[in-house]
Amino acid sequence: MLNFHTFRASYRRGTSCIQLTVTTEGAFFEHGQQLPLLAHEQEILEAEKPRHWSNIVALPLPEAFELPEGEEAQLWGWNFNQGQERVLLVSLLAGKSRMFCTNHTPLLQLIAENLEMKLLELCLLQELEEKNRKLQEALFAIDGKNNQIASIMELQQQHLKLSKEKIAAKNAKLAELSALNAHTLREPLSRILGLVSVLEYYDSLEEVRDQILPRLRESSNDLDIALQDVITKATQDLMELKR
Amino acid sequence: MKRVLLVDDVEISNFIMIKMIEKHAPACLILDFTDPVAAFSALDEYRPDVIFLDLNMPEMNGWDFLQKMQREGKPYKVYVLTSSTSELDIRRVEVFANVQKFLVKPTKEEEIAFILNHL
Repeated sequence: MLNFHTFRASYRRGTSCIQLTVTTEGAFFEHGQQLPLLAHEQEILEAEKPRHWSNIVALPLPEAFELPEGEEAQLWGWNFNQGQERVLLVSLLAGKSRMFCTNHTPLLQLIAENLEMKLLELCLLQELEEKNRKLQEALFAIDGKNNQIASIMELQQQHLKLSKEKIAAKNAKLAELSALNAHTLREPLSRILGLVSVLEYYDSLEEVRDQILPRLRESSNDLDIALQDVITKATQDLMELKR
Repeated sequence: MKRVLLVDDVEISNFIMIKMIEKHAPACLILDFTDPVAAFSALDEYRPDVIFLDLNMPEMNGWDFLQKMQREGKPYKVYVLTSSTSELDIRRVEVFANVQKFLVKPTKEEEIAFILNHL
């Protein structure tokens, strides 16, 4: 129905642009912010009325607008002004083998407008995909951070376990010390208590002086020495344990 | 006549035991040693009815003494008499069938009297 070599539509909504190019080879489109217009599109935009070129040699056109020899290029341009910061520029390149009939202009406009809807949908999908990709990246980063946190926690747990073991070892050492101390002190003390018990059996002061007193003196001295030893040793051990 | 053997490296401990036994069980025959090796050598000749054995001694401690008795099959009754209150020591004594009781110093007269009068 429509005959042409190259069809191009440039859509603008504010700063957002879509440019669609269709040739006999295929179609491609670009989507982005403030994409540059072609020179002839700029003219169409400013002229605000359809334009027609029979000689395109002087126009800086992209590859898609190249024609075989002897095709006698015919380039049309329309500005289908949609108002409200929306712009739709359509260019159509025809030639001898593919003649365009200007009667078909309303149809062309209809097609161009419908295409816009389709393209917008595609752009949204693309944006969605991009957002999904970013979300995936963020999730991946969070995962990495979580792993880091987990390993830090584990390290702290290990530290805690080590300190617990250290404290347990210190407690064991303290318990051992106190048991040893108790025994060292109880030995001479138990002798003193025993001597005091048997003291009651004596009637003669002289016998007490001979048998009990020297042993009481010796045991008391032993207790004193043991006490001093324990204090010295306990101080040393406590200093060591504090480290 | 009952025979009592005292083994303690501290002479004063043996002295206290001798005085208590003389007072509460005067009929007993007492032999005391501050050298556990000599005490062990005297076992079979003396054949004591009861041994009061200290644990903390140099050269041969109470455990060595008990083990040697066990090894050589000497069945004499033993009362461990020590100033240790360690739970470990108390439990360790249970291994030896001939040990009657774990006594903690200072010795209680009544307990000694009871033991000697029920031999």
